[in-house]
Amino acid sequence: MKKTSSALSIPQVLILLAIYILPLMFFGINAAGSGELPYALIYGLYLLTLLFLMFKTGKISKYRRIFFVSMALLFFPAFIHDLIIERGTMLIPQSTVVNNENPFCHIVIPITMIPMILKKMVIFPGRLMGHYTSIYSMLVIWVFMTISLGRGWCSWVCFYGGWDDGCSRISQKTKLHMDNRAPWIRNLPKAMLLFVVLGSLITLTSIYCEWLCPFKLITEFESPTNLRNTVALILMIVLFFGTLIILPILSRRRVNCGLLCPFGAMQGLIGSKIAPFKVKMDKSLCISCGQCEKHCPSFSMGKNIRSSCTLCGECIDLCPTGALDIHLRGKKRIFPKAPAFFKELLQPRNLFILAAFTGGTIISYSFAIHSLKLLVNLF
Amino acid sequence: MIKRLFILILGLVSMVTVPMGFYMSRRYETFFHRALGLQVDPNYSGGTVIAQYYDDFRDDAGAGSLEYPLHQYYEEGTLDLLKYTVYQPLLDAPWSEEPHFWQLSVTMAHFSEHRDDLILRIYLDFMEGGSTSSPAPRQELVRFDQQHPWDLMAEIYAPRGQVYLYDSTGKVVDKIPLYENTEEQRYIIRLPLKGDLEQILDGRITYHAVITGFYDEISAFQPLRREASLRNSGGAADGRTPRIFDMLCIEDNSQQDILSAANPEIPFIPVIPGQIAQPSNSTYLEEIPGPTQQEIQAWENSLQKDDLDPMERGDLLFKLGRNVEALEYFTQLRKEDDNPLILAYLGTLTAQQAADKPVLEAVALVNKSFELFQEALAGNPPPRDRAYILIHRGHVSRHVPNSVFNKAVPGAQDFLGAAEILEPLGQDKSFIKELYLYAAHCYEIAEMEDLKELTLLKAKVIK
Amino acid sequence: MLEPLLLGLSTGPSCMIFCGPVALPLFMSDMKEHRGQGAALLRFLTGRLIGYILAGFILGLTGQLLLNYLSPLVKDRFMLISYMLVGLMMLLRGLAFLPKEKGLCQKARKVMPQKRAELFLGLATGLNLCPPFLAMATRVTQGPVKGMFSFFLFFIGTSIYLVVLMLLPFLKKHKEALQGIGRITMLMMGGYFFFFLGILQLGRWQG
Ligand code: SF4
Ligand code: SF4
Ligand code: SF4
Repeated sequence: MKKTSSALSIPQVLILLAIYILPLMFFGINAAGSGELPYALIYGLYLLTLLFLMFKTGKISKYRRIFFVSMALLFFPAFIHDLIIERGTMLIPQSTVVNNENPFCHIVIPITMIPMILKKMVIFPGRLMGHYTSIYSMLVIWVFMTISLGRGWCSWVCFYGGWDDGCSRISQKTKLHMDNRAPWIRNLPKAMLLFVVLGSLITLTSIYCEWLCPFKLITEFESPTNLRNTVALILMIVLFFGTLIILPILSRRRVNCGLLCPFGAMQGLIGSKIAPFKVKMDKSLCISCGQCEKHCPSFSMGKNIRSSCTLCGECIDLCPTGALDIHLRGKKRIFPKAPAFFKELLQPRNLFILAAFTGGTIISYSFAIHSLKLLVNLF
Repeated sequence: MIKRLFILILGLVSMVTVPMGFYMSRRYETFFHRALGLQVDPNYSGGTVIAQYYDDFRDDAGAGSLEYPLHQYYEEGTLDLLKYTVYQPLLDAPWSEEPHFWQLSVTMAHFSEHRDDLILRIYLDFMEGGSTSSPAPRQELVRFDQQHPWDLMAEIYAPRGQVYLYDSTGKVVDKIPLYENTEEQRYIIRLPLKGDLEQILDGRITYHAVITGFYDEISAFQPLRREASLRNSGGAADGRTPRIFDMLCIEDNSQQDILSAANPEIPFIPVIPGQIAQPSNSTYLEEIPGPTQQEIQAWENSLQKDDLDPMERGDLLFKLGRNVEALEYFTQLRKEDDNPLILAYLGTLTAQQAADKPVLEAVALVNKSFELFQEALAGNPPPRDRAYILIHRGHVSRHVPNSVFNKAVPGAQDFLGAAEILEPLGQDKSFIKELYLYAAHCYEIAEMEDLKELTLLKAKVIK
Repeated sequence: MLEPLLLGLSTGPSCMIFCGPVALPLFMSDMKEHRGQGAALLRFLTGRLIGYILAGFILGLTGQLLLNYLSPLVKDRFMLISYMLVGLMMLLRGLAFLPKEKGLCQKARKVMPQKRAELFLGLATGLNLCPPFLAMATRVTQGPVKGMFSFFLFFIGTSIYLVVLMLLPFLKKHKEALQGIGRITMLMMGGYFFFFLGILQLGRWQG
């Protein structure tokens, strides 16, 4: 059976882009600081082009990845620059900890959750409010994103995920086979989540941040003044290059996000239950060619699609028969009997792409234009 | 069909939820804070507070006569202690370079860029033995309470960001980092629980004395002169005047009495675990008197006069709450006069119109009001007028919902800014005090308890 | 008289913060039917009881003398050793589950069979100086017999919360997955206790 094309016609694309422009204007261009407007416009144009191509060609994953990787790459120059302006170094100075000013990122959410519920205590030295990295603002963003996107966060919104997502597609051939169906691969993410949650309970401090987070290398880390911190630093470097770059290149899988990140595991468990969008397989169309399992970067495709699916779109694009698509509450088309124009326009996949891309847009806007400006000024 | 519609709505809602989440996260933090009441684990902020002591504001003149050096570098209030906080000793504190420590913090009235000469000493008595004099030759020219010879002294030396620890023989035994919290105007130190200090872990009562002075390379405490000069403090009666500008005094002890005695003896304050002194501040806004009946009558009467200054007429209309008339009057006046104060009145009156308008219209009016204030301030008014404009804007900020406009903090800053301008101009003290109280109220709206408390402390001593 | 019981009941949730992270992976890694789970929990609790009775005996005998000696810093060191012991046991147990036939894994299986692990980990958590334990310890002053008795009551109070673990067999449907997750967690937990909470912190001994 030949796959029906999911490409949209120009009027359909324009309608969808028109919807996207609203948040783009309000959160992006409108929020640009003085002297940042040109960069805001450039970035906005770039995003519009990607979204246009995504809808026009019907290929989700390719353009999504370009966006996702550029977001990850644009995140850290601005972040590091801000840190250096604010405190003069990328190292975590003690005064930041003493004054509780460490940036709170989403990955800590599952770790801090139980003490937060039981004792109303946040076991992290962050700001409660009044800063873009404060605890409340991250929590609120998380709740809303989980309701609408579920684990889609991990392919569309997270400013870290682009590293291993990008690297997982550098090589054309798989050099290191990681079998999706191996029990340990299935269990590792949840075990990792359980481990960091329980381990953090004992010491009432986020052991993930202390020992296991690879992203500290591109954000902030403790200075290796004693044995403990030196070990942490070495571990961090090994994890960064190992799980975000080398292993993803060799195995064509997102080794960090698919196996080790506790936030990703939690989104898989909770998010996939709550969020209305899901990738579903039409068994009657499937010819068991195995393309989807072979290429899923997130270890999410085995016999069935697992709850850890990040809705990246890779398998949807690759499936030769069109058996896979994004469903909304189990429906591939909301109005199957409507005229073709509307039927296609209101496809769940379009709604999801709009929502997820908007999320990525808003979260990335301020640091992306900040970084663009820095980079332009550098040359 | 209905089910399909429901699904469509669900899809659309999911699309809206995404930008909503971001919008809410910025705007409604205080709301979520009220609902959830989360707190950062005290293990990260130095332990639970076991005692807090308050010292008077503006008593940084020793026995009452000391003066700062005249150079502008020595900003007013840099030596003024406001609050001393003692924390529960912590073991195995996470993310801390010093795993076991005892945190103490001192809140100052003013935290300027220039505090190079500041010196702050905390004397601690926690065991048998010790000393009753300062570590010679660095004399602050006082003795310490005979009952409580001190065992350890922490000297906060701001310019180097260092704290030096002295033992009772006057030797420097350790050097630890000094942490500063500029926003809350606090110095924070973490005494490592090593050696003798380990003993406090059994929860015993410890005794503390905190003093401040200016630093001098040779004798630690800068000598005092009779007259202040550019670099030297003044106000000394003779060579034996204690070189202490401020000290932690509670309850019946009066700093003036102690320091002006012939042979001053610095008292120690017992820190009993679990005893927290809180200033009561629930009804502070009620201290601000409204206009009396006579005053209102007097305003009415003056309004009848023909030779009134145009500005004054507007002001009277405004004060009497005749808003519609006032708005018309000032709008008219604006065409003839470019006095920036007119814009300030217009700003307030515009914002007041928003009260009974539908949401969108109200938001537009408030935004317009802030534009008017901005314009007024841009017109370079003389200091006194500038202060009045700030007060106008402060009141608007205080009254518009903070969750929508996020103006409570700028409002507080406006009131404090106005107070800063008006005070040297000889403005009536009770008026200045009101400004502090309004600023505190703004901080309360913004849920910034520490700053609210600090502002109230400052207001308390203005008489 | 009943004070230790009430104290145990009220501090129990905090107990779970310390014992839960050890007990949960331990039981998850070897899922059993209701009966087997009951027996396993009993073994764990027996270990814990022995620890408590021992503590009660010693504290009752020495009274405040020992407590004074047990300055928080000494306590800190004691915790370090107990972390390392717990870590070692969990590591061995985790290794024992690896499918390798020979070598370390086989040895681990010999040294640390599941039943022994349940008993000994129970004992180790029983002697863990967690905050509720210390709160209890300050109340024991009058002789070894009374000391043992009050610690027994305290044990009952805190153990009630661990009964939650009896619910595990109800998740039979996910047995495979839970067991797999539990075993990996066991290994990681053991490594964390032994290496990160233990060995790496040894630098603090100089203090
Ligand atoms: S798994 Fe973690 S790091 Fe990866 S995209 Fe998701 S949240 Fe980000
Ligand atoms: S890609 Fe996957 S879903 Fe599509 S036909 Fe092949 S096996 Fe079936
Ligand atoms: S199942 Fe498909 S959409 Fe989901 S993560 Fe894998 S490739 Fe991406």
